[in-house]
Amino acid sequence: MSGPDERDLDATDPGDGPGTAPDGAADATGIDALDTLAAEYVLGSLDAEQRALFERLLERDEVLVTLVVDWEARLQGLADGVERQAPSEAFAERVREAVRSADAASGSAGAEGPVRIAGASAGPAANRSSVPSDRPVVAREPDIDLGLEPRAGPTAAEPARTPAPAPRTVVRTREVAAPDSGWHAGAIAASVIAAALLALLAGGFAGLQGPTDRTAALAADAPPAALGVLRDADGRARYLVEIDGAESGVRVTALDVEPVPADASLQLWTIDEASGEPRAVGLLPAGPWSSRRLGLASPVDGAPALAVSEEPPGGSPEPGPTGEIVLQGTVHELGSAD
Amino acid sequence: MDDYRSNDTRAVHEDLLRRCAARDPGAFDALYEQTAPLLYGIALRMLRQPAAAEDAVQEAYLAIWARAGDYRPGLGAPLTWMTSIARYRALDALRKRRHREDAQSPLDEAEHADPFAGDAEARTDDARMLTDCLARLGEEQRSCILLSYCEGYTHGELAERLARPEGTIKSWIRRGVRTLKGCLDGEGA
Repeated sequence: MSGPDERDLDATDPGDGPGTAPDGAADATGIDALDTLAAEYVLGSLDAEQRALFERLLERDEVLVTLVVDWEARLQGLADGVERQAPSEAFAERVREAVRSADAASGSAGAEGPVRIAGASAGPAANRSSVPSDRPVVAREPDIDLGLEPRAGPTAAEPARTPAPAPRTVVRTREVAAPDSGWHAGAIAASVIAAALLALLAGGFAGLQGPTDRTAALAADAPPAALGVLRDADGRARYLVEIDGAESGVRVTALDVEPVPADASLQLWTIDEASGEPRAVGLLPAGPWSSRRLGLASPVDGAPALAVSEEPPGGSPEPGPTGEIVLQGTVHELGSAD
Repeated sequence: MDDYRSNDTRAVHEDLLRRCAARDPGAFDALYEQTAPLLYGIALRMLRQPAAAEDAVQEAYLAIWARAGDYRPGLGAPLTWMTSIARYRALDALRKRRHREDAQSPLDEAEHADPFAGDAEARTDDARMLTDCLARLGEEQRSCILLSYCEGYTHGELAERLARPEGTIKSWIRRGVRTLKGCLDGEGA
């Protein structure tokens, strides 16, 4: 970490809300930013790493699928216009044989519904969905894990799914995304997170574009070791929290937040897994799509719970939170990105 | 937007996909006959090398066969769905290459002037509208979008080829796709 310990990178007027775009072209709302990202995915302008990450998110995110499908349809005219080239008959025969042998290898796969390509004949890429084959069901898991952990391996996210172990701190339990809130809200929240995450890993996108130093500062950060999402009582994702590995710092990025009242501060706490003790981290940035780096007094071990309390300006006068807990989150350690 | 060419074509493809899902090899052969020249043409335009294009197309057809049962109208017209599978296979192959062979060659404007140089019959209403909307974009935005979609150029490769900073390229593409969407979706047209 080369810069000052705390950098407020926000350049937008918090009072404008997230829906106003500073330059009129790159709308800063999550869904537009995400739609642009979907367009870039369909176009093919993302590099290999971004592409792979996007596809992992695509497997989990219904909204993302819809955005991608719409862009595929919009741009299909460019594909249709290509000069038709009939492959050789020898190639046709090769494909027919490959298809039939793939079927033989997978046995009576047709009876089992969605079919996976069996065997090595198709190569590892064949298992990756381009248009996702599984309709992602975001709503089934309100505590969305971003799909970043290795799906089959030991899940680093498991500990994070256990309830926050700090009874006196956790005022509101996570009944967020209750059935009534519907899958859509949850999916959009997940998409906002996905967009923010991609932005931070990829070095900025439309939603965070603006002053170049802001983008540059985001890009300068190493990919985080762990991620948390702070949600309000309704389950809406309000802040993305990235936790460094070695640098023992965190970056907090405001998503679609509401302005913090002038006579209050939002203070971030980590809740130690074992003791349940809260530790003060710092104050959250107030403006939407703003990002701030906070130092940590001591490294975060494992996957602590996160909580945000509303405090007097400048933060709690006590060692622990004094105000209402308004946001909560769990931390997910990130697996290697393949 | 989901309509592709004609409802008849769409219905035929949907029926073939259903039969593929039921493991009917004859349906696969028919689907291949109808779509291979398009899918191979797309892969060849992106990969430039016949052998690489064949590999991508073979992977695409294996995926189409394997996932025919997953197809649903919400994923777009069948041909769009299949086209996308082929394009993404070709993009995967491009990304595995360290460098593009053609990255150093000057941008041939004529080559990209008309992405519809091929099948004149393929100029559907949708394609005409896309052409019109692309024509409204600035030259840089249009070039980047076409090079990316048709040939799989990444932001970084475009930056190298067009000798502009990557941030500029990203900005062109992002503004371009926002404008394009507004035009295609009939906002402020």
